[in-house]
Amino acid sequence: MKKTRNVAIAGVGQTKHRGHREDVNLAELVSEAVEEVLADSMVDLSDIDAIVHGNMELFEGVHQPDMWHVIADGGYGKAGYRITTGGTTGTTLVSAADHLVASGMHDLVLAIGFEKQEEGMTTTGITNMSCPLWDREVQTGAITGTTGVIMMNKFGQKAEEAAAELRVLMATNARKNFKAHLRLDITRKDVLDSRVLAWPLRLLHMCPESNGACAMLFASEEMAKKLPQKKVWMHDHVTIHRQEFFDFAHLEDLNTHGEAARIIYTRNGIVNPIKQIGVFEMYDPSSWWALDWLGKFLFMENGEQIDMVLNGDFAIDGKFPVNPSGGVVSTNPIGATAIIRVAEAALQIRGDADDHQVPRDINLALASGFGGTFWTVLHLLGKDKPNH
Amino acid sequence: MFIPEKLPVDKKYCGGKRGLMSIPYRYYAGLFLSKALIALRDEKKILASRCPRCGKVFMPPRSRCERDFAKITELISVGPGGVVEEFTVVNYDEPYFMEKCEKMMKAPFTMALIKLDGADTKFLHRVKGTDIKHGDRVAPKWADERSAAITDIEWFEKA
Ligand SMILES: [Zn+2]
Repeated sequence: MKKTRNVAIAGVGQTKHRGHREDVNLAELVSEAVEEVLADSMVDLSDIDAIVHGNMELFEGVHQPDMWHVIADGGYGKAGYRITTGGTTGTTLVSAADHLVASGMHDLVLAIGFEKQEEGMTTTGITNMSCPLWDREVQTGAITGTTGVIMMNKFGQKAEEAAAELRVLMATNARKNFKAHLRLDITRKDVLDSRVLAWPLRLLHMCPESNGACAMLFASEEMAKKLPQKKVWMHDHVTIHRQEFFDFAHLEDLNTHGEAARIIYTRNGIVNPIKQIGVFEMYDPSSWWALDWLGKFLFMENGEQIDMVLNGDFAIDGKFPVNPSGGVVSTNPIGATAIIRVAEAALQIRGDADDHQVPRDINLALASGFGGTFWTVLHLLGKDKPNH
Repeated sequence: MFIPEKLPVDKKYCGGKRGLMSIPYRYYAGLFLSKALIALRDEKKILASRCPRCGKVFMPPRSRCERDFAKITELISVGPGGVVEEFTVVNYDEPYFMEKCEKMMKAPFTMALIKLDGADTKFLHRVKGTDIKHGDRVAPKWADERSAAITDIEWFEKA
């Protein structure tokens, strides 16, 4: 991507993500993340020029939350933007903040994603996303077993073992991340014995509903030089949208993940992602999707990722660490979910991921966002400034 | 008219549909602001919050100062009397609200931004009657059955 100027991540902040946060209201939840990003970046709120703010529409039943969250996010007197692109909201927040800084419009931009899922009913928002004439009355929420069926038809029992193993890996990682919501101690058998939601998708394969917020600060190169925190550089990002009918049986026609990866790799000279990219924070709404999507992002047409999962190659100390944070199946405050991917990737590059830190130097990190119906936002971050 | 009775108007050539979006929610006040709601219910007391940095007194109470981002932890008693700063007279009963919302007041009545004694901000409530002027002093009429909500004050009336 051609940029007018470089953009750095100057700080990150996250709440602890939990199933219940009755102790705070929605605005207070947001300010916890803002407080932490200010502390992490050592920046004064008054130096921030603009706030980009986002969550899922209608999920908490609040219209224009960006307006009244000024009482809680420090937005008073600053430029404000609201972003709401479904599941990808968080990664789109990052894209927007990057654009605002790269363009020269602003020097310091704060991006905030949040969701307090205990307060609303997600189906309210999700069913109203479809065409009012043709889809609204007949569609359901976000749970689908189709990918699992396709994978089992293609690869047999091994795929089911691998999806379960991937869920166990996410639980193992989440237990190292005190901010993760579900920090389960589970085995492959627990996953395979859990309740069927839509065969072969089971309860433990699926992401939870979480309450949480995540904030990131983006700075121009000039501004970043003056800031004390370790910098992570925005290298590239791409958004592939493809709104189609709900044809879940032909997902291969909607390979926005593969398309996004192809563009990012080509533009940034990545010929061997497993070797060149140190960590991947992937938006994994279910372990079945995760298993399929790893193949899409890594261009594995014959299911090689299945063996890699069973081999432990995606573990924190494996060949290609995926979701050391525990991923979306462990933590899912939706409007924050995708920005958490980018924030966690940035922490990995900084070496600040504490107990879930990948034990080696990371120069490049990948972070993906996913939203319905099948669109992708993919970010590439680096320890060094990009050359362009 | 909150839901068009007939849609489309031209049934022969124009298709369409009508519906009703329903958005269930629950909203947690949080531990700090719950205290102000509970004071309405249990003590008929109006609590505002005071910023430790700039001293601004927020009513409705807020847990962050919007100007300096200070975390607010102090609640102070304000009112119960106050002054009407701005107002408008409601002359129309919206059928949808009358049907769906609890504790609606029948028109005509006044909606006013009231600055309670001791507060630095104005808050919105209803004032009984329509003979209201800027600067009128008003006092709350408390509900007999209270549920820790703003409607524990049924309305304000001229004091
Ligand atoms: Zn203040």
